Amino acid sequence: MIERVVLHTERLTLRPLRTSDFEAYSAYYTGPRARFVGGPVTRGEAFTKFCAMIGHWQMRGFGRFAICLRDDDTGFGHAGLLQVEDARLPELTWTLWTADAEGRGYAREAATAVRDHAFGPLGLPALSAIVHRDNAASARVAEALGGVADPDLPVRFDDERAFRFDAAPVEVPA
Amino acid sequence: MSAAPATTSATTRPEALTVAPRIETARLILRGPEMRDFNAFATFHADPSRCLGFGPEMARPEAWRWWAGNIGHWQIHGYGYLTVEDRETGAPAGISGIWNPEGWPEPEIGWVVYEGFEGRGIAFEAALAARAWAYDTLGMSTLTSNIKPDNARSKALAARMGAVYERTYDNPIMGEDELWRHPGPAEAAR
Repeated sequence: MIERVVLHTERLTLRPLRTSDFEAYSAYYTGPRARFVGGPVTRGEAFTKFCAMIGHWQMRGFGRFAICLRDDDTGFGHAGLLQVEDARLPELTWTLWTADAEGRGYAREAATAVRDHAFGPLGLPALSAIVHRDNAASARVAEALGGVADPDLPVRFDDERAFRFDAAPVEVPA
Repeated sequence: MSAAPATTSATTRPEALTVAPRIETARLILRGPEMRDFNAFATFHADPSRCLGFGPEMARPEAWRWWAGNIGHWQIHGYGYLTVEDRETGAPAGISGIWNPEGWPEPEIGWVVYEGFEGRGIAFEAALAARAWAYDTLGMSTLTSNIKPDNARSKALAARMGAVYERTYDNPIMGEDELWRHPGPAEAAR
């Protein structure tokens, strides 16, 4: 089996997605909370997306995690890296599936762990994040993580904007 | 079927998410989907003259998501589409396997043959092996194939496998679709 990465933060565990996460994920993607990411979609489309998130790990060696509390294994969001096209930067993504999970800094905490894992163990030099223009909460997370708005990065839809994240340069002793 | 019966062994590659079988037939190897197979699948799915019996024409990023989704389908169900590899050249010749995404009426056997591999009975050989695996290893008790009403070639192959038309229904992705029923484990040719 490929190495199944688990990340821990102060309050959260980011673990591999599994079948038992699908109901909560589907409820999110078939509902109004998915309005900034091309939703709502049908349950069948949500299944297709869910499968693709899992398979992405084998295709790239990285991907999206389920977000849980450290002491409760119930997934309530997903965060991680997405790279469909070879020529584009891997995308840093974060999503909370329920309104209950909002307002506590969980998205920022999860995305920070993913960013640090990407720039650290994975050794990726740069990432992007694609945020809908009306999604002020996600834009704040992107900026808090050091994202810089970059109009030159490609987006899928005109109503999205892109942020760029660069790994800190390695300091070479003089 | 004149070829020797397929042989099946469970193999786990270190980088694989799931246990997929490796099934060897006279001319083919059926094995788990891998990143290196993706180009051939993307080429097939970008060609509307070939892919419409399988699904809507897809740009490469959409096909990439489908391929990743197939791998995830394997993890969720323990089965999915296998890559059909040409034993002689090692090239991917198509895909065949058992498919059952959300909204599907029941698990189906599907098959796709890529350009350059048609007309040699490769789909038949692959689908027979996939069906035998589903019955003999997965323990399935019945199987179907979902076929677009205008896909005469796939209907002919289903009939050659002993499947019969059962009903027409509305598939969530394909629209109007025919459901064909395969012979059960006791009757199906191996």
